[in-house]
Amino acid sequence: MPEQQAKICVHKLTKRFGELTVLDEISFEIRAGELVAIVGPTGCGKTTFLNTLSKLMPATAGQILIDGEEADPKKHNISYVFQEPTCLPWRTVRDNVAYGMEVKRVPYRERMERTDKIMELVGLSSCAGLYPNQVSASMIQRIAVSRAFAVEPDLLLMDEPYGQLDVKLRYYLEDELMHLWEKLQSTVLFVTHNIEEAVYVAQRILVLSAKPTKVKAEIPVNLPRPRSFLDPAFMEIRREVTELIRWW
Amino acid sequence: MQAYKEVVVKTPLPLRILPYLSVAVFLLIWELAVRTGMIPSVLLAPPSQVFSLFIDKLTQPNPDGAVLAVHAWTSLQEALIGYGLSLLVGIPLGLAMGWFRVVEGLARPIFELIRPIPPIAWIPLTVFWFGIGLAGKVFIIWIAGIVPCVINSYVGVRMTQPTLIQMARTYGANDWQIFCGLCVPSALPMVFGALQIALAYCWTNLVGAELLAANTGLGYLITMGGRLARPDIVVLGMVSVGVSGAVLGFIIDCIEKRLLAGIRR
Amino acid sequence: MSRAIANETVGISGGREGFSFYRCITNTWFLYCVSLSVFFLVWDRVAAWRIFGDSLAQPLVVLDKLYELTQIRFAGTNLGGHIWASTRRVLIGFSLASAIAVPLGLCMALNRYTNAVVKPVFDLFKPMPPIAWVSISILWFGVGEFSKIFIIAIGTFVPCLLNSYNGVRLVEPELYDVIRVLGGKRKDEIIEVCFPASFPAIFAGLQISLSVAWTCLLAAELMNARDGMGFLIKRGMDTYQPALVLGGMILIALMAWLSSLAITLIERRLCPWKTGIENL
Repeated sequence: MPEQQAKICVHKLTKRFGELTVLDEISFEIRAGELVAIVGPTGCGKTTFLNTLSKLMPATAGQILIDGEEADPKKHNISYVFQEPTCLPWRTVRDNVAYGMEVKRVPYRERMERTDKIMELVGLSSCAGLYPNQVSASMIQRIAVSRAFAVEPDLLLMDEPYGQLDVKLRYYLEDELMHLWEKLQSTVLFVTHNIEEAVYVAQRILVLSAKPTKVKAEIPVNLPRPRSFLDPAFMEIRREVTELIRWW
Repeated sequence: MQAYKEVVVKTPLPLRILPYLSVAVFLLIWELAVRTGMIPSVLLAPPSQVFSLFIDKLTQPNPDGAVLAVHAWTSLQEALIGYGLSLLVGIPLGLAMGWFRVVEGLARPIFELIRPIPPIAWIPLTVFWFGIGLAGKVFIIWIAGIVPCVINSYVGVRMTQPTLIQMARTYGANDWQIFCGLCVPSALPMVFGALQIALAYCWTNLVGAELLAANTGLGYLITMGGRLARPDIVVLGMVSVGVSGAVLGFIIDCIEKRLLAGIRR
Repeated sequence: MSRAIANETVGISGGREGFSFYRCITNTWFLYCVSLSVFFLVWDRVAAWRIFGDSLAQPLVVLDKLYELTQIRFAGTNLGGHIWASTRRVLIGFSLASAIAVPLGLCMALNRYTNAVVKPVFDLFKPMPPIAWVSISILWFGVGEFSKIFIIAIGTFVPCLLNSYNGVRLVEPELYDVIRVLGGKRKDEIIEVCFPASFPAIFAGLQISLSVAWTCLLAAELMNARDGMGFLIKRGMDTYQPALVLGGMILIALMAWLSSLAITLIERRLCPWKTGIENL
């Protein structure tokens, strides 16, 4: 991939809750269209990290710049795929996918076009008119992912989106995510506790330390796609990341 | 197919008969107790007498001044106007209190002051202000109905899943968008729950309002029965209040189910 | 918007933000003060300017009236006596009814046959507003103390019974399975699971009952009494003294609030595990 200018620039991001420092001067950059995974030990404040990045919580210090400007959910397109299901039970699958664009005031026609396109890509077209309580758990997570991609986000944050699904569905949805990402060229920050998943999807892995959280290492993953879990190079990276997380 | 059918658990026969039996026995004891003089007939009227009075009262305005239908219509009118007004004010107020902190800060203390006052305690003041006409009773019923409306709508909004709100926020939704698009729909089941509760409150306090300040209405019928020492009229009034309240409750229940089905599909 | 939305750190995410005028005027306590002062001011002005004629008394006049009542004997007793007369009626009626209704509700939920006998008769009485009993109770028991207690008991009975009945029926079946797997008997199921699990529902029923009880008391006393807070209101109505009426309303609201507070405290003591939703 040709070298691009940094799209997202996080500079000395710090978050304190009273005496407790959760994020300690985290700095890194993400290029446009890059998929970066973040892994870290349990309880290292990954969720806090994402909440701060998405501006759900004010940061104590530091900056988050998108295209050189201070990030603002009202101005920039930031999407967030949560761990928990976040479908609106009173909207159909189609309207759920369109919800993000509706908030962004995307004109109706364009909204519907994009919705249909994305639903086609992830195979939701057949249940467009159903309500979330009529579809399976994996479908619900797909809806959330499609909704996030549909707004053509500047930054897409994913917080263990597949953490609650079983292994088989997870592989399937990870492939689908790759597919979507390659098609739509979004900038994605993927948080997970599953190292294999991180190595499988990411171009680069940021390893976080335990609290107070810092970026401990940055590991590029230059493997060809589709990747294989049995590839020795894959296993080597996985081992390396595992060591980093286990050793502190 | 046959196998499934045999699995159905049958309610034992006594359990199916007992409910009817118990009502029948209850009515029978009531009838006999009065007829045999165990309970003096000045204190209680037997069911049969109440029923024949019911037939009479369909056409006879004596001795309380109006036929049953007029009483029922008056009560119904008061109750429904008060009920409608309390929904109209209470639900939006409760929803807004649940989401907008400024509204909550301003409305809650006053609401908390008014809430513990039993609605019928307002009777004297409403009589001073509005006389004993329709307006006074509507006011009391309105006060009674508004409390559950506010509480349920408020709690409904407060119970909105926080993740949904976060989700909307990350898309850059403003407070108003979140309120209309998320909080209100997710509060709807609780709001519909309030319909039923508010109706019960309204109906109860309607009787209270009419006992003291009225010249027609079912509550007035009961009071007149008491004043004339006619237990049959009192019992008829109580039964009519109960039955019409139950019917109204049933109608609201149907509406509620309809509405719920409409949003949950 | 300072609504806490961080899901793992709700309590402490307030943070220290700089002083700002907007935050100051949207502070909850500030708003409470504004709201209350506006309320009392409007009340005071409306009364002073006689918008409703003589039929509304200024707040201070009402307080003055209440103070005066503590000093003199009004209809045989002073203010404390009136409050006690009403409270005693509520306490007796309420405890009588709940002492019968709660066990009966539990029995109905636990035993199908009791349920089949009692439920239909109970359903006959359920839709009848308790206030509708006022006339007949006067007919039966005269104007004495017992007729008032009777109405309160009738009103209290219904929500108490309904809530304890539903409380038991809504216990999660898995909880019974825990006892059964451990080899417990039916008795253990009832004592270990049923009672504790239905406690919160029973208390909710008691709360509702209590507010119904005060309403019924008021209805009974308005119809017919020689003492009590309802009597004060009624006397105020008959002699056209808005201050007395309002004083009575304030007193009864205060007592209703205090008694419901008492129930809440007892409940917190008896079932500390209960996680209530944020409620008004």
